[in-house]
Amino acid sequence: MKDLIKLIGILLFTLLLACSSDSGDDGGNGGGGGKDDVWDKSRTAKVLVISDLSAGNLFPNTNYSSVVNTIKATEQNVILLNNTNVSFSATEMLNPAAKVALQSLYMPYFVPHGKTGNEYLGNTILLGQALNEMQQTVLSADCWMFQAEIPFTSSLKMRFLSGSFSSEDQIAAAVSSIKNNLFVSTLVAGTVKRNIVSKLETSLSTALTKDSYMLNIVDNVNKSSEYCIYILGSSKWKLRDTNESAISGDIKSFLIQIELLK
Amino acid sequence: MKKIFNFRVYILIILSFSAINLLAQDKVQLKVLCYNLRFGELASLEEFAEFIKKENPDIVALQEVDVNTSRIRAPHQNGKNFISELAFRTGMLSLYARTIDYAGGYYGIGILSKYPISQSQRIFLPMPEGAKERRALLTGEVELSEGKSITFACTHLDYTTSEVRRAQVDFINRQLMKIETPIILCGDFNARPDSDEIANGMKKWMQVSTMDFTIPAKSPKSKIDYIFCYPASDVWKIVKSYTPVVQLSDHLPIITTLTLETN
Repeated sequence: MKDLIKLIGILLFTLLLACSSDSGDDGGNGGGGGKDDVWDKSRTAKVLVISDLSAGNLFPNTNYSSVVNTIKATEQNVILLNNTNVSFSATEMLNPAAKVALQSLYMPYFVPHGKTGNEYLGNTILLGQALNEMQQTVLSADCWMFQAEIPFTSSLKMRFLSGSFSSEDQIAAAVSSIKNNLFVSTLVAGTVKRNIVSKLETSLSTALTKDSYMLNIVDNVNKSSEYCIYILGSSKWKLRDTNESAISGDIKSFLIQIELLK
Repeated sequence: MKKIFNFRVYILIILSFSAINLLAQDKVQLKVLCYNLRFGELASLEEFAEFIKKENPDIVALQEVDVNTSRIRAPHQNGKNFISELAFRTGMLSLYARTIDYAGGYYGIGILSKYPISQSQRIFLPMPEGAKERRALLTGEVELSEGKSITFACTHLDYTTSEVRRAQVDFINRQLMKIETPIILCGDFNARPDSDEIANGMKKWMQVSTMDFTIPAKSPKSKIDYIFCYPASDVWKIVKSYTPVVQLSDHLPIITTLTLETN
């Protein structure tokens, strides 16, 4: 009888261990080419996206302190400030992301995705170090895709790409560019207009083989926004966790953790 | 009567072709500023930013740019990120290249631009025998308008010997001559116009800054700061060039307004 109780105890313990090893695994949509049942945090890249997921300017006023405080308080490898538009006139330019970079001690890299008569529309990538090399591919008129090699652990680097898409022609160009740059360490993050997400999905599935990539749409809690965040990469990447927090007004932070599987 | 008619048609055709040719040739005007900041020892970043805003350049090349250093000689600048602060205060987009770690932070060169930068690269310059400190070339491909871009490069050559600088100039030439876009190269070359590295090493380039002396700022006796353009043909034209006398650094800034003609 005692042996039976012991056996049941061992079985229950084993079952408990098996269940706990899955915690924090959001599953993701992609293939996952390696062992992915246990989250290896030492191989995890952290992307912090700060956005209100609208088409509007992230900083309609000059109150940057709440965003700066969030950046300072969050451990990450790369920050994407969405829609940090740069306005200009004949005599003056206003570049709000430079203020955020200055106050948070990061290096800013502007990635345009549109242009009006007096404004560059775009995102800013913030990095802890100045890059040795950076490249931006022109996808369509005034819409660029950022690309650079960024370390995310002491020994691992990712080929980080970023772009924001609001039209189908931008997606077509982006998918073509991503196809040429899809290596094991490639990770792409950005925003996409909600009504063209399906175009992104179909374009990728047409251009790439099913098991060669992963795509995750990171939605906000109420799923009501005009834009959403996408995370795309080789199938070696696995989305592990997304943490959405309110910063100020409609501005939210999304800390996205993605593991590079062995 | 028929001859006069034919002549008029002929003139009309020539004028039409000239007009089409003029329309096809776009001119872009660029105001370029090059300034060695001497790690901000002699002025605040607010003063540098005010100067840049007053001059209203399109692109700026900066040398001796500190990030988060704690220099004893410039305590008022301790912990400051020069490039981000100047970008914020001027509203311009920025690039930075660390050349060495220094005083708890970095020492390097930077670029400010009114135009987005589609590509950038930091390339370390060679350090032949006699070189004292690592130096770099920072390049950025600047998108002026759709389909029109230039390469803007900033450098700061070694201060030691002419031989070292000649090796660095030759290396820069090899790097930049591979590029297909028109190029502007600015910097503190630590060399006079009659030196081997400038007179011979840079002979393929068009020197577009004034020949005014740039150092020491209080009583200038020598020119060591330059703005060069490539190709040195009809592509670049100087509109205006001057050397403002301001005492924010031990160097004087140099400014040139250029037109770039593209077909």
